Amino acid sequence: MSEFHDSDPLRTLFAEYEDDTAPQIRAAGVAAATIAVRRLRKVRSTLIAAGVALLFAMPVAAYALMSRPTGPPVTPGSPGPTVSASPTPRPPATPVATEPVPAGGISRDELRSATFDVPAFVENEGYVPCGSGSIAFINGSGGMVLSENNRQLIIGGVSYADIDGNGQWETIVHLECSQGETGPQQLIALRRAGSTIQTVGAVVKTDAEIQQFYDFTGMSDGTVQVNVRSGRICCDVPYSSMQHQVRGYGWTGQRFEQVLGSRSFHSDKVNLQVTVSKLVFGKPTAGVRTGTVMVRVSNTGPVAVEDVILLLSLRHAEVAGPGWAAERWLPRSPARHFETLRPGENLELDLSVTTTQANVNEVGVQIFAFSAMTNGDLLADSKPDDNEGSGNLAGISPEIQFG
Amino acid sequence: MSENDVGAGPPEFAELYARHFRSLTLQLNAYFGDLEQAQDVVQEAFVRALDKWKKIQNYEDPAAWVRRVAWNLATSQWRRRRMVRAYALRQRQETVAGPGPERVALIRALATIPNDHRRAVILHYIADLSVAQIAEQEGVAEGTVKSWLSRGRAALNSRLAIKEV
Repeated sequence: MSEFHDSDPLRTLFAEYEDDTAPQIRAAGVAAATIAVRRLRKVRSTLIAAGVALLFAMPVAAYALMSRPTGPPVTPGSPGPTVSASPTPRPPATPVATEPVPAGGISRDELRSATFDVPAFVENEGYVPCGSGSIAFINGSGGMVLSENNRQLIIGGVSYADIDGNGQWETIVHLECSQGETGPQQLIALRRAGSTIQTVGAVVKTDAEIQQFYDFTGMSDGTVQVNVRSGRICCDVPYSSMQHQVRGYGWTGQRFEQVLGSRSFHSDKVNLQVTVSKLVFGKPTAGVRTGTVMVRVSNTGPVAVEDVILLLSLRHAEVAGPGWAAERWLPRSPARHFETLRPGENLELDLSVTTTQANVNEVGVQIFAFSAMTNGDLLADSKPDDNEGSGNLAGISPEIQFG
Repeated sequence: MSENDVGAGPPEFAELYARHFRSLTLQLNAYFGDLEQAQDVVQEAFVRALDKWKKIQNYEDPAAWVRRVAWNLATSQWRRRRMVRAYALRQRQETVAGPGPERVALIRALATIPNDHRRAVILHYIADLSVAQIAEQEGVAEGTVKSWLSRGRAALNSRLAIKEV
């Protein structure tokens, strides 16, 4: 850089700083990193085995179980109605199964080595857009297909929707312009046109408002439902610091338009606070111990919370007692809904868990509180740091929860 | 090596670690003014890289990925708050030796300039990145980086009573 000279006194000062500081640096080392990764993977596999999703760390995927409303998956190949208004009542839309690939659909494996038009990403603060236009994807690890200064255009999840109801299913593809751990995203619809793949259009793109998608699925009514966020989960950002909504998009014949869900994020900032007592275990009975922890959720904000959701992240433990079930927004994790909590009100419950673990110090119990509206929208908390609590140190696993 | 077995770490990863841990820690220490936090953040960035090594090893510049993740972690206010809590839980003892006077003056001066300017200055002087590379990492135009550098440099010169060259 011509404007900064070698004789720059600052360069000398920085060199002195490096000389002075470098000897004091203590690298934990590759071995420590290896142990950390092993531990990370062990915890992940434990959580998966226990049925707890890596809900805060996972990138976007076509999550076919996202259920609004509940019901069996549609058999691919059945006709998909259009999204235009109809005077006759219809059965509720259900998620479309991704296996086997429906008629006209394109498999993810085929897409990873295909050529198709990529619409331009929306330029967003802090990120450089990836390329657009006709792009030849090559088969690569993790769907990584393009390398230019570490910007990677990645094919993420794939789902299917018969957007125009003609019996030939379009393929909905998640694309991410990955930069570091996140980046601009878009969902696009593709269809076969002879031997080529034609881009029908963009379903939705991240922009200044929608900062990230979490998951998406094609529905039996030809729409695409997308879980959108008002912020980016990256770098330990708490889940409850941003809003989460499901929005649906339908094909008008010319473009995709929103047909379901809130059209904007809410302005109210709620404030829940979680306090948790120490987790105490009783004596084992037939090898099973029961532990109890007292959970208090306080509404310290200025507005009422219509629907309080408590979510559990458990390690080597299962929740005991009724009312806990997988939650649509936070799938596969034990969650429980509670009624309206007004400003100044508290919610208290004794939470019981069981474990067969001999060493109870290995048991992790972490509780998260979320504010939701009756329509299912999750609201952002003004102090998200206090929306979680743990009955013991083993419950704290930031690399899993917020990675 | 299967994805589930990191073994002792692949040799390429070990080389990357050996070549860049120190420089990255120097950068983040200059930003934080806290060597222990800087070391923790850089270590975590490398842990994430090792976890995704199968993918990252194919990148044109894996070090740039680690640097970006480390800086993302460093500039995340949430990350910093969690680290403070983790620190309190571990009740670790401060073991780092006291800094020299030049280092104190520079770190103090850096702490007084805007975050954008500070990152640009650190990436320029310690990471030896070009304006284009800083612009790439920060996701801004090169002109913006030039402005940050110029203003950051002027502010540092003023605070450290250095005459402009």
